[in-house]
Amino acid sequence: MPDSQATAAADAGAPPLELRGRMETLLTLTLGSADPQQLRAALIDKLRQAPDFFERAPVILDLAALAGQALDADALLALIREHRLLPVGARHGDAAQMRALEAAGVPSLRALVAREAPAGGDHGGDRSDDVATAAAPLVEPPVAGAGTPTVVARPVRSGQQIYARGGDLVLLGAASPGCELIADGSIHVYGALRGRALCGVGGNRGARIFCQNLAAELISVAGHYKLLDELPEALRGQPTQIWLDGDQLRIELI
Amino acid sequence: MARIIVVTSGKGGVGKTTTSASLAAGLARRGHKTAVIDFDVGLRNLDLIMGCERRVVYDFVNVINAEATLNQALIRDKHVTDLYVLPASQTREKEALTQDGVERVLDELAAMDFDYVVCDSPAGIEHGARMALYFADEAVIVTNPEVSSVRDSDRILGILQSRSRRAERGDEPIREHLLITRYNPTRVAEGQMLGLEDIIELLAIPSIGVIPECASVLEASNAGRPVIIEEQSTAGQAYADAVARLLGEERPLRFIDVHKPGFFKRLFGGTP
Repeated sequence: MPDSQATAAADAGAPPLELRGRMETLLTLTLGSADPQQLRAALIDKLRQAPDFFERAPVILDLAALAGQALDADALLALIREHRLLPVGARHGDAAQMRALEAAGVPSLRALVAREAPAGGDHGGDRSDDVATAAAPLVEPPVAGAGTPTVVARPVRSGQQIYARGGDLVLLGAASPGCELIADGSIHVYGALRGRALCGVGGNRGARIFCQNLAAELISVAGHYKLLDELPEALRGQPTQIWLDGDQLRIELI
Repeated sequence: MARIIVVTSGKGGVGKTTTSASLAAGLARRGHKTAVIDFDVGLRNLDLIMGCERRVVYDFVNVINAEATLNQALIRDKHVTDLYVLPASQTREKEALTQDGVERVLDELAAMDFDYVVCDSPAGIEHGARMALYFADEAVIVTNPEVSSVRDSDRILGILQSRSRRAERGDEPIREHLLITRYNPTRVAEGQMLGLEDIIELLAIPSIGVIPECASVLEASNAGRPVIIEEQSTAGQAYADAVARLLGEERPLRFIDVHKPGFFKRLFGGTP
């Protein structure tokens, strides 16, 4: 065989270069302030909640709230990188902000914005695979139209995190211990729920958790949480629903 | 095209190297030209279990750094024909394994008409383990019947599904196989170990076998022979079954039930 590299490529039937439009799932960092002091404090606070999950995570900067404000792109990027996040793109900024960020090496995603809305709508069954196999430990599907559920067909493993942004999360497999299911809406788990489940994280107090087999390490509705040890013995392993009644977390058999 | 099989677990001491040696020997005995690579750079155990530690001249890192050719570093096994060992370096760090370097070695093995390349992963989920699994086509997840091992196996399954070349390219996912080792049916019955059904339910992947806890495993590794060669031993037979299942054959599970002592043993005690 003449050249091992060439042989491998030929065997795999793959051309040396391929350009494909793939939907990747990325974190969005929405900036509510251009003030470095405020941002620093907020970042420290945010990252303290889950330091490892965000380690070297690629993020998209959303500047929608900063329209018209002066932005020191270099200082902003240095601050974000200092907290071990990797800015890979920016959007919703005004022309001057986008130019400054592009000059600092962070491309503008304006072109992608227009495509996003229809993509969320006609995604249907395909999306579940994308979500389960995405590279980052934190898996966030692209912004879907309100009420579009994120459906995950594979088990969610220890160390994996799934975030259903703006809607419900439906998990057909099991959620292993050490995983995190997060949704702005409700969470439905058809396998055993053994990891953590946090619904209504955007403050939706009407969100609920439904599961076939409750063995969760932690359950939370809109920030009100309970640990496994606090769950009544009689409900463990049972099909249950969990919701917020006033400030009281309620767990009941279905 | 060589099929690349990673033997991995997350947790240490569960039997990855023992399994790598036996699966590689088993595949070679079934007539497939097989290489087994020790990715545990810095610790180097595979050559001991394969009984070739005194024949190591060049190692995996030497080949990656182009200090030796693959042919110089590959050690032909003395028990099994068609079986070759690529030992790890004992004097380097795991970072010596570069992704390009590993890919080059795997491509070269494919060009040498190897049918299977078994990658013996180090413990953990760090660089060495990532390199061992990155190029895999199939993965054998070695799990002991206890909770921490099952948890770590679950973690490594998540990494296989997200950090492998197949995942990054969006190709067909790595084929995952569960192999339960150190299984002691008596202790399972007494509730000291997780049962087979529990482990399969927790990990939700198909199993290629259960290797019973067996004195022959330690004896074989001390003697520098893959235990699969010990055809009389239960562990050896269980590994032979696992190889058959890896090759797509159906085999009934053996050695998973509590061995009931015979009448005379119950009556008189001691060895029958």
